[in-house]
Amino acid sequence: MPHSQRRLGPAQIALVVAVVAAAGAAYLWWDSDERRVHRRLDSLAAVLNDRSTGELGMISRAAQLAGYLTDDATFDPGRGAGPIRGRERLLALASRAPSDGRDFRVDFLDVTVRVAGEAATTRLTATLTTLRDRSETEMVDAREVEMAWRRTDDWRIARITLIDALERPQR
Amino acid sequence: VVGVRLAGWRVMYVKRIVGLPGERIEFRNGTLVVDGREIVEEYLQRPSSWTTQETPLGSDEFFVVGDNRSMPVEQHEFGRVKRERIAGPLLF
Repeated sequence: MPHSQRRLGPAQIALVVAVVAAAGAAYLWWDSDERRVHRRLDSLAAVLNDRSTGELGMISRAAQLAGYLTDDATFDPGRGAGPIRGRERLLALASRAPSDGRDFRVDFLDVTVRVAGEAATTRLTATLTTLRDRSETEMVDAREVEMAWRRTDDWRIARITLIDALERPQR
Repeated sequence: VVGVRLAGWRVMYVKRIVGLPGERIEFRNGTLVVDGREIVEEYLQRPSSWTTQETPLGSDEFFVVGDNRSMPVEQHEFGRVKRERIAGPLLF
């Protein structure tokens, strides 16, 4: 049988080039520092949503959370309340909330990441969804949050600042 | 009633605009007061007892508040907001 050869047309060549370029861009994006910070946020949310209970579960969760914070991490709740400084104090705070036993879920949405050298900043909306026991109605609290990250052994959070979208009046 | 943007477009506060740029807003024992005039808010289902100081609004600021004011004032998200955060009116 005669062996037939087909030559690629211009449209097909353009398609191949576009696919290769898209694959390259996707790889670069996946491997970028921006993407690494995104992945750290996703895994942080998973740790915060961990349902482990009991003393062992709390110790395990605290150990995992410690890996996301720098030693001098600071939490600034705003609204006149002073910042809370130090990883150990923040971990003690995180281990207590939420403390009333209700089912809850933390999500980080609308995330923007900016990387500059060994530092990064994320702006996001954090939501806390809680389920009311009797009515099973979902209640969602949302706050805008800015996080300052520092690259050490991995990307770690150095500062968490709650941003007020609305400026409350004085009472 | 408008959507107020947070960090992006997926999550928004739904609030009512009760103050326009240049106005002065306060609550007196639950009653909304705009530029010294008490406002009757017929859309409210439950009364509140909120009291706040007068808040003057800048040229690009609005005052927004939710219609459910049955909770203590410190548990409600309301106040001045920059024009750039207002996404627009709700369509439903």
